[in-house]
Amino acid sequence: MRLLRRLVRGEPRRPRMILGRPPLPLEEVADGIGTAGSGALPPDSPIPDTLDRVEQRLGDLLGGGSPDVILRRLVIWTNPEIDGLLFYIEGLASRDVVNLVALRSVMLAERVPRMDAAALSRDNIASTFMTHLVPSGQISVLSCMDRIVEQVLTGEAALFIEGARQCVVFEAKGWEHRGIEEPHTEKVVRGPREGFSELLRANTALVRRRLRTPDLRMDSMKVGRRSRTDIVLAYIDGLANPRLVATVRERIDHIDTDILPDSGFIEEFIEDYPYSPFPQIQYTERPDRFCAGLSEGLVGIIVDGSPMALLAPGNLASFFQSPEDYYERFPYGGPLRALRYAAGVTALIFPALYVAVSLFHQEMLPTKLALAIAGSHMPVPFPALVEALLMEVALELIRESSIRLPDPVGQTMGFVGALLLGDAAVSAGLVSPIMVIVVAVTGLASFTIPHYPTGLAIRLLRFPLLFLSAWLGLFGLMAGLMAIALHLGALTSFGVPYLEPLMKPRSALRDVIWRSPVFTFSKRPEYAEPLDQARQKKFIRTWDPGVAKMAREAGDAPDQTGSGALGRSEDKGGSGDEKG
Amino acid sequence: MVILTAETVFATGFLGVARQLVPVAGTAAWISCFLGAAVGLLVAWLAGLLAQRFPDQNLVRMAEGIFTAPVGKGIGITFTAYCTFILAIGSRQFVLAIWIPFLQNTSPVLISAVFFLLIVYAAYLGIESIARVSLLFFTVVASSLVLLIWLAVPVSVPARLLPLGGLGTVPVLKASLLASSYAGECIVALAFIRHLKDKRGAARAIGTGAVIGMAVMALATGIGVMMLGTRGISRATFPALETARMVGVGEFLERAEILFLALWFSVALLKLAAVFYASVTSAADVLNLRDYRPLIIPYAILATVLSQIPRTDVETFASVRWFLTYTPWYAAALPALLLLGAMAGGLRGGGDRSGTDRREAR
Amino acid sequence: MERIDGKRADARGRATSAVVLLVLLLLASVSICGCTDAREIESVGFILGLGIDIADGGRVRIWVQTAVPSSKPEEAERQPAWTTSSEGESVWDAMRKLNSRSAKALFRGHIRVLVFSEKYARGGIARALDVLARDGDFRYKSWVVVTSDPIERLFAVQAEHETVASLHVNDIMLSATRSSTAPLSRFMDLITSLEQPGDQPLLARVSLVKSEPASGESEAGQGANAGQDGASGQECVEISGSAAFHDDKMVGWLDPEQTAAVLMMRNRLRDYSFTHRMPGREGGTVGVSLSGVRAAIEFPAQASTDPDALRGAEVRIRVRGGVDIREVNSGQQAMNRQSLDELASRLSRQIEENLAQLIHTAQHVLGSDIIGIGETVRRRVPSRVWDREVSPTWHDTFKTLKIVPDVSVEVVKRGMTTSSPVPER
Repeated sequence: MRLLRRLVRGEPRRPRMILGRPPLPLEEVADGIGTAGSGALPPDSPIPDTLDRVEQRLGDLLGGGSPDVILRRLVIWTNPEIDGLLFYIEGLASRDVVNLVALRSVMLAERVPRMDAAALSRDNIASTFMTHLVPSGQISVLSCMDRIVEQVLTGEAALFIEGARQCVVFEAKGWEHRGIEEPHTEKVVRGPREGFSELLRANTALVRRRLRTPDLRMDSMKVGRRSRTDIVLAYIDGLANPRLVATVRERIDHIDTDILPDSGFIEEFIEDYPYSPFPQIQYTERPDRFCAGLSEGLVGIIVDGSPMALLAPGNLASFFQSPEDYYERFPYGGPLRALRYAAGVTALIFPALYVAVSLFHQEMLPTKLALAIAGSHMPVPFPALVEALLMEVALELIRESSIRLPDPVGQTMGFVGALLLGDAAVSAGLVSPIMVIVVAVTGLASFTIPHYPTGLAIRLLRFPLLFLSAWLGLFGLMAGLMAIALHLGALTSFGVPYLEPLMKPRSALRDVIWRSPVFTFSKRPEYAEPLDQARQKKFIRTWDPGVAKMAREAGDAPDQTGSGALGRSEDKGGSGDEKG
Repeated sequence: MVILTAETVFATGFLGVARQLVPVAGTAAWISCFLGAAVGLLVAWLAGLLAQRFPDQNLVRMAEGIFTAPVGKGIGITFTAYCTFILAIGSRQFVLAIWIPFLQNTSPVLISAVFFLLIVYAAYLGIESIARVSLLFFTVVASSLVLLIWLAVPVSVPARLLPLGGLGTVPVLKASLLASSYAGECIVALAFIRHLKDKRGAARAIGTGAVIGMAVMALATGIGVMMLGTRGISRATFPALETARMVGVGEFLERAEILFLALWFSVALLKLAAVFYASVTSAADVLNLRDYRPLIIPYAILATVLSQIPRTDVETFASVRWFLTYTPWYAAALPALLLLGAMAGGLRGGGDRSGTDRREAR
Repeated sequence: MERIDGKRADARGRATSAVVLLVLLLLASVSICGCTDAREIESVGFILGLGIDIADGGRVRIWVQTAVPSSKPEEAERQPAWTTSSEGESVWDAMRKLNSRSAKALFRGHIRVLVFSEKYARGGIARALDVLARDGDFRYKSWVVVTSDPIERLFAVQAEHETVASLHVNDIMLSATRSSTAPLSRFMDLITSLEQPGDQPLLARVSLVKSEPASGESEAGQGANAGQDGASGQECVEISGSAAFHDDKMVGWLDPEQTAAVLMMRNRLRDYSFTHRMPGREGGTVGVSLSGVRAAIEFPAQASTDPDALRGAEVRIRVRGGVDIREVNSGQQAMNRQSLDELASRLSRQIEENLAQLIHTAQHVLGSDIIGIGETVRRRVPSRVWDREVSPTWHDTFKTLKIVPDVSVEVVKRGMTTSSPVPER
């Protein structure tokens, strides 16, 4: 009862011991690994006076023995002789840049005319170097060790100067990375082939290139105590709702974790209902989709090291949309999208429906079909539910194994599995051929869902539905569906109801379930509550005399972003559901 | 809101409405449904006036404000009782519709339990969730009804609806009194008015909902008569189900009634969830609780037990009849009483709140 | 935008909603052990045909044809069936006994054909209908037919494409109702017309005929009505008119022509063809098919206000429709308008005669309003009057009516040739 109450109230559970082992005392943790990395360096510690001590200090900090930590002594000024220490991480910093910037230019420094060596002092030598000698675009002068180390660990190079209070840190990032490839998870027939890669800068560049508005904001954040992962919060100023941006930022600010291997971690940290099977944040590998999302007032999150950028908030409809719906002409976009919704429903309920009908409602089937099913089920030793479960699990196995295996083997695996399931199981009398068809159709249907986690959610929920329908027939199935529907009805993503776009029948038909022509999208979708609703003029094809006439009748002057007539009709349409 | 009200009006009643009305009104039973909608419109109009006066208040708080706290609580208790009655009877009727033809060997208590489990879940998630899902499923159910009509065309004989007058004016009016009870169920919406964005649209929303709901009832009755004739429909345990049993898509999908019933099950569930929510929130107001959620489980148990009281189907239908006979008066009287009280209070000079409201309205 | 903040406040409270959802689903699936209503499809004995006959001592004998599904797809075409019978006090009682004898749970959801023997039908079929109407499984679209032949022989018939007699009868009925040689005698039609005194039931008659010896390859194209039974059987099934009922008791047989006449007056004739013998020296025949036939039943005006005026009133049945000439085997080619009009009026007279003969049979031989005149009256008069004054005595009133058929058809089309291809004289 207490558990139930807690469930109902949503109280957090008390921390528990795991497997009876008492938690480690804090001191022990502190002595072990806890403080070794970050604790050794107090914030704002100044640069030591001599290069030797700098070297020693860095050696302490980074463990000395790491072969990729390069500390190179060099003479950077000959009259008077000034020693320098170049500090970078091999592999992160490009060798070319380091050579060019540090070694060549520094060694040629003396030839620079009007360079008054006498005027150099401890305080300005670094800035002189920065302004005069190091040919790098992104360059700064830093004076605290912790910042310097942090920068170097992101791939920059630092040049310490004997006796100087500051240090020159310049951009030298040049690690090996994957090039821009075609996105693997969201393929299109027609449309751009670029995909995000693991490199944050490349990703932001891809976005910038597509959205050249100066209003595009990319706010940098860092998450991860150890990984120090760069995160970029992307949105369009004046379009994205500031509260949404603030909410996303606040939630990211709250993250205090060790490392952040992928954007998937962020997703779990910031979503509204982490226990829901349904994803609440969109992710995409496609810059075009990302930019389209930003232009609808969404907030994007790009995480360094992850080719999957997040878009918040998400909603159910967004997970059934593929960018190709828009790239291909609209007559095909609408039916394809509707087909995808139908496929989603099929993937969710088809096996359960089959079990319910064959166990409870045999009168529903046409007589011939009922007899055929009964006949095909004769040699099968299992009840229908077990048979369905067997096949479903087998399907999931094939799917999982072909994902994990290398590509060529994976395809073979698919064939083997299909053969195994389809033919051998039937001829061995383990399953009925009709069940094979049911499962195959379900599998196909679930592949059409463009957003992978949504497909996972559907695959997961299929099993409870299967049990329910084996228990109470169609009513069990319906009860399960209602539970899911109610759950979806209560879900929100950053406060935006999950089903919101489906709630407005007019706009739902225009661009959620169906897709209308592009020139009719005069308003942005409302669910993210963008500050600026008007996306384009209401009448664009005014070169067409008919359209021009309509525009004139609507009182829509050619250069006005049509809100007058549309606004009114929208209000009328929206009055169907006042619940917010 | 429109949809929610509509569902509140028709969702459980339309299974059996024809059996109640046709014996009384004959072929004109469907007209009675529309006449009954008048009560719904009346309630909607009164509710709209109330909503304008007390834009952010619950039914119980309204009543407490208008009269004194004890009287208000008393009204709240009657409202909760009314809702509980709907809940018990509605769920019982639906459980019977599942139990009698389909799950004959499953215990009806179990079916009820599943029903109430879902209702509890819905009430726990709150009215927004119910409203959203209602809209979603209403479209599905509406299309299922359109499909039903389309399929019914080849097997129905529209002339069975003749003569239009039915058994005469007086019986038709009598039947419309019964029908108005269904329409009157829209007073449940009083409990959600607070959540409405546009308060001035409340009357229109509830009214439209009631009319849509009663139109569905009229449709169910009319089609039933067209297909089975007045005698056949009066004899059927669940006329709407019987109607669905007779249609089919050629020789392919003949016995689709179970599909229809499953879809109707969804709206019935949403309706009952809304009623449950209304009831629980009112009870919470009566008890001066800040959150209604602690009440959910005890109340659900109470309602489940109550719904088991009519043990046989005869008793169930008798209590439905009883409900139909006596509740329209309550449905019309409740908002009228509140409004009268409010007006009287306003005349006495204490109605500063309504004064500001009127200013705002302008 | 207050929504985002507001929602977040109770987001925490709802964070567990998903957990509750899972618990719900889990709870439900745990109770799977209680699935008492589930029946594995292979353990279901699908009854395809149900025959009801009378046995000695007023007892009821039922015949049940059950499908025996086969697992091999190549055999699925020839699904064998198994017919058994039992006896009991009532249909329910007999069925109960059968159930205890059958290894499979007998399932009434797929009964396609309900066959009454003539003897049982004459004794009243209502006592057999109750159990079926009460049963949630039973199919309202099943065919109800009456036969004068032994039911066990009917169920033993094997057709060329369909080895199960019940399914075969189902197919025949489907095509027969399309070509209007049989009344629409589905279960739902039966029970609705049973309850209307002014609309008496008419059920299809199924009979066994000796199949003609399979002498040539053209045998199969005999027509939709006759089922061929391949090599083994000697009998095949035929729809041969209909059985007329008075309330729930069968009162007589109608032949296919009479059946068509009834359907014509009831506006249920979709497509009906017959041959017309030409008069005169040359004689010959004309094959025609009727299409778009509409019938209207007309009463004297005062009948709708004064129910007493109905007794002995003159009722006109106005039939209008088109004729499609399909075959001309006559010297009279009906080339011009005048001869076409002549032909049309002759056809009208022929139909009129048929109708008159049927009306006579209905009124004076059967004494049952199978034409559905009473239903037309019900629509005209106020329900209260119908219920109290007309309905109780309708059967008698019906016999006193003077029913006059008034048929007028016109030739609508003549096919792809306007005259027969004959050698020039």
